[in-house]
Amino acid sequence: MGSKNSKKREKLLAIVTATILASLFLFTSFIEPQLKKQNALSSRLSQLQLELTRARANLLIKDRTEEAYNQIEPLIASQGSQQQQISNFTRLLDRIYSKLNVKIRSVKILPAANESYYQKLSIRIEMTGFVKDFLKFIEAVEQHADPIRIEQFDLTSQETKDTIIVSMIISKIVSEE
Amino acid sequence: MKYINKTNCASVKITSSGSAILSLKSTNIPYCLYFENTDQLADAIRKRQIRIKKWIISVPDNLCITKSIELPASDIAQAYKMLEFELSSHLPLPIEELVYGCMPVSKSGNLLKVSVHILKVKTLEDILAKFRSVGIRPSRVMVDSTAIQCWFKKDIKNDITGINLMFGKENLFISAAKNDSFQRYDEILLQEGGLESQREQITEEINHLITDLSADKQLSVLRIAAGRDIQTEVKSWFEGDFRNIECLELPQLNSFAKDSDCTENDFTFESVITQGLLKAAEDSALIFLNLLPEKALKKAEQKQLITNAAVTVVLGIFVVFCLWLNFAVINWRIQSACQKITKEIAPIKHIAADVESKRQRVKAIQTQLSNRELISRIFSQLYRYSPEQISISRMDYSSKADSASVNIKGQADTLSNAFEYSDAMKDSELLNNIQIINAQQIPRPGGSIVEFKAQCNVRGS
Repeated sequence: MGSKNSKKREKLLAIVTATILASLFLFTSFIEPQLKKQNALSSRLSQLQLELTRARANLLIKDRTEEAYNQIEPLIASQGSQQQQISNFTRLLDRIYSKLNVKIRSVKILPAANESYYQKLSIRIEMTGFVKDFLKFIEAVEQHADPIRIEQFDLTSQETKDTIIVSMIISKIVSEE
Repeated sequence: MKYINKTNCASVKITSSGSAILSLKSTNIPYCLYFENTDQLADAIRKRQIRIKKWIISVPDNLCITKSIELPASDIAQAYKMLEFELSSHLPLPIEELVYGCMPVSKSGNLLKVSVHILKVKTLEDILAKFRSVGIRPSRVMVDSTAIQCWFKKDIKNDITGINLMFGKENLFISAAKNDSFQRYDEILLQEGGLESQREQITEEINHLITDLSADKQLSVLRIAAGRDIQTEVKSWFEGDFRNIECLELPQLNSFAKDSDCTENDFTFESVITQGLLKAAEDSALIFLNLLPEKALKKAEQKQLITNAAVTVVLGIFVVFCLWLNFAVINWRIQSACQKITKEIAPIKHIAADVESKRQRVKAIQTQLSNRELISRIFSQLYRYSPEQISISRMDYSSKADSASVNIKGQADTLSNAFEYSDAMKDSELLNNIQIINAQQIPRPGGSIVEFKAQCNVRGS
């Protein structure tokens, strides 16, 4: 009797195991790939919808954007390779500080940030001088026609009156080559 | 008449005239259906006008060999197993050519007396073939006499000897039961000349039975199942001998087809058998009275198992297929939507990309040129609003998208002067939010100095 029950239980267990295994096999073979495909397609659909919305929005602002771009085009126009652009940028800075009574301690070219449609060149300059000369330098940079900007500076006063050490990062937006 | 067309169990009997009597099991009193011929029954089964899971049939007693054997068995199951070896000594035929079933009769001490019904395999196959042609595959085969006895058995009480008479068209069936066990049965062929001519023969047979069973007529019960026309007549024969005489109501037969008439012939015998078969199937004592060979039963069981498994597998596959199809259709629809959007994007893609590139550049230049002169203005306001007691030794500036952060480190004569620095800058347009975040008095030769740190977030205009 006990053996019969045990056999019955074993049989039931075997059937349950086989059913679970078969279900798993069918799920992994047929259902799961479809689910994965569905996820991938859903993501692609969302991306395309976003792209379409952007494209339509861009079409709507096309005239306004082109008008604005025509105005800033001379500022961002390509001036050759990245090296040439950096060279132009350093020359520009040189022209500014050469007129001032500051002493340049170091000039370091930082890695350029490559954005989708433009590049951002950065240069770190360390200089010493009088406060008034530094202020003149800032004024010259901020009023310059080219798209240059002081991103950050670190100003430290020295023992000598009105003498300072300044370390600053200046950036410029340039067009891609 | 409306009948139940779907039931779990039904019994069927094909009459000598070729018609079929069917008893359907229902929760109420079972009722009989009359089919004019087997073709009508086959048609009803094929068209699913009647749907039965288990069929029970019976074989006539004259085709069977019936033997009473005493076996040293404790129960009927054990006795049935013993029969495989015992039967060969009682019959001249090899056991392989026979099918048999048994039912308990009585038990005395260690010996169990069983009534064994034996049938030749060939005979059974012929009977089964006849039913198969109709579309019936019986799950149980019993004998007519047992079915009739079961039909009568319903009112028999223990310790009472019951004599049952059932008047059919051609035969009179006489059975006797004692202590709830079938003891004896007999059939008397009824002649056409009327019952009165056979009265003596019937009475003699009953007396013989009573003597055999050592029973007292006055204490025994006589049950008469007969048509209403002869019931009174037969009852009058025994009224002096038996104190308890009961007349039973015969089954009512209904025609399956509207146009056929079931009253032309007398099917009382067959109706009682089919109804008795339904009762016999429920009787646990008759579990081993099945003349279907064990192999056939196992085969049928296996077939059922395979059918069930196949149906389950097919259903499972169908469900998986439906699920797969569901996801496939969803994916197909998403893919179509993607293709549609791609087609919409294609003609404007280049123009939009050009606009996007210009927009990004304009934005970058705007950001680059925004807040110009902010640093000059910060220095201007520092010069204007910083108190004379304050000297700035260090200044950090870092610009963000539309704001800037300024950190100042300086010295003051006293702590109060240091903390008053933020108050002094309140009027400043850009540095009015300046906060002293740390101030510390440091001793110096000839006095002390307060070093402080201030921080301010500047929002561009």
